[in-house]
Amino acid sequence: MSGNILVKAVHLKKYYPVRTSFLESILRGERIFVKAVDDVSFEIKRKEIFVIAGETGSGKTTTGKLLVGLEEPTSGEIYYNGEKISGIPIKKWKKHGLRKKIQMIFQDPYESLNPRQYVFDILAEPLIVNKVVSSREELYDRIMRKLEEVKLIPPEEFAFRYPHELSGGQRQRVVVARGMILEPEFVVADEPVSMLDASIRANVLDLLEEFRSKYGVTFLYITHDLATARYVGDRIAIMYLGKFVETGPVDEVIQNPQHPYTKALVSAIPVPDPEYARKKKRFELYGEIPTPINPPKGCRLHPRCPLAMDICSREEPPMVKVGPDHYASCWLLAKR
Amino acid sequence: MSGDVSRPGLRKGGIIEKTKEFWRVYSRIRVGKIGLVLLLIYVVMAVFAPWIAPYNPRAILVGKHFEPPSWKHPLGTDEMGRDILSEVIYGARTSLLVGILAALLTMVIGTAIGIASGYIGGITDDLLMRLTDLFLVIPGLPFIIVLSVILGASIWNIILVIALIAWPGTARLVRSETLSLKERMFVHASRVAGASDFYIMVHHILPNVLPIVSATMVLNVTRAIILEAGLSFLGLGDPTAISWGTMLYFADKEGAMLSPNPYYIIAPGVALMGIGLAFVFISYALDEVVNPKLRQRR
Repeated sequence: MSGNILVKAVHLKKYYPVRTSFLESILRGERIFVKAVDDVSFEIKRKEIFVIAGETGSGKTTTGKLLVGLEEPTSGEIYYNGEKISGIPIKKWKKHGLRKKIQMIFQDPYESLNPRQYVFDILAEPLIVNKVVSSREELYDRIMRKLEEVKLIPPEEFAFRYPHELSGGQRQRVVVARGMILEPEFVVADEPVSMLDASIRANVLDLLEEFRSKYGVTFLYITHDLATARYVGDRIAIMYLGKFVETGPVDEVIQNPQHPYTKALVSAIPVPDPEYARKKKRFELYGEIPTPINPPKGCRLHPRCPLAMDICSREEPPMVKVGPDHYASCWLLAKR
Repeated sequence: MSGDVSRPGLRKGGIIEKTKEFWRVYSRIRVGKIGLVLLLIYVVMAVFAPWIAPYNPRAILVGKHFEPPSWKHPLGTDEMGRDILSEVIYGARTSLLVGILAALLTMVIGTAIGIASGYIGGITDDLLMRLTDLFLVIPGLPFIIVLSVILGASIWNIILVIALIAWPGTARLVRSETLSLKERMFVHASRVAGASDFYIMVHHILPNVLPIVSATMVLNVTRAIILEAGLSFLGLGDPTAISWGTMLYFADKEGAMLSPNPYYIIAPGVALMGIGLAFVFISYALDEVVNPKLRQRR
């Protein structure tokens, strides 16, 4: 089994210290942290598209950043291909040969492209700084080939444009091309379609699928949108306030959600049929996601959960197996 | 997806198109246009001085001492009988040279320190910013006077000295800009692509701070020109160069105000005022172009 596992995270934690006034820190007697990622473990198989889904503030983007080296974990380990990569500072990634293997596709196609660079230069950067091309011609060829692969055709027409001359969908294709140009094995795709119109989302997502079948790329797909998760994903982890609450095969988790939080998310997916939508019983939580500073004790969902019991506010629920490869962490499911 | 791609120069975002767009905004600002015309006059004076000036500015006794304005000498002559108009025309060379080079040097030092300080952060930031503070609180004029006495009077030393006291402003501006730029997503993206800090500073931060730096550079030119004139007026200028400040120094020393030719003092004064105004007007207009929030609806 372990030969089949590309990425493994063990008890991954990322806390950010909160700046407090001197007086406050004396009164409280302890430092306060934002627990963005709080003890998360998972395994991503080769050629798999693993999805982390959750609301804004659930820590899913931080998890992605930890995996590409943009953030260093507070504690816990990350293994890549059996080798421990957590603790290697991002500046040393190139030396360890990790940079060419692990890449990221960024969320915001407006923010993540330097407005003063041509598309060509944006795509040339990874190739140049990693010294993977030896000549101008090779550089040109690789960039043109990648532009074609992301369906910016004809590539010559797009290479010498500035980002602001492209549409949102075209920019996002450039962002995908930049993530894929080093031909990495593992790519963290952080909400690659959240800024796009629904009509072009599927097109961009199809690119990920294509890269997987063509090059055998493994993806971590981060999203808040269960519809796109189901469209591309194989397995999914639902994240809430820095913790996984439910993991399993995508179809299974969405069709048969076990955790109240997943149920609420699934029931919030818009249904195009108003008749059906009116009849459908919605499962709703109270309020909104609290701040990850001092998250609720016990089960983190308990203040919002309509099914909360006594124990929920006291003790953290264990991960329980609820089906084949399907786990959820809720006291309702735990045998007591 | 329309747009004529076969002619890259005409594409939106191409250099020609950008210049056009720049001019479209700039040309709406009246003072900006006045400034440009004024500057153009000075540039013509500087470049074509040998052809425009009626006399060699260094040649003594082309007229009598302190001759008042006449057809032969439109601005009269000085105590040595040199033609003042010719001296004023040649003076544009010194002023523009000192102004532009000192501003360029200021920009280079300020930008380098600002980017390094803002991007690297930590102890580097602390050290560089305390150094900047140090230079900010040093009283400018006395410092310049002392330095130029130590270094000796030459145009190049004056340029160096002016840049030395002018860079902290630019450095602070660039640092604050860098602080916000380095958190932009494309910088993180570059880091994930494997770019080194130096690469990021040169390829991502620098091009994005340049517009704002070049807008302030224009104001630095004015400052350098006035400082050069001030130094020369105090007798610390380059005695071999023909400069308006030096003219004022000798005019003052020789009592030009009471002489038959007061234009000896008025002419370089007005010339200085004019070039200062030209750059101030231009910088005012550039400010509006670079910072769209300042633009008025017209």
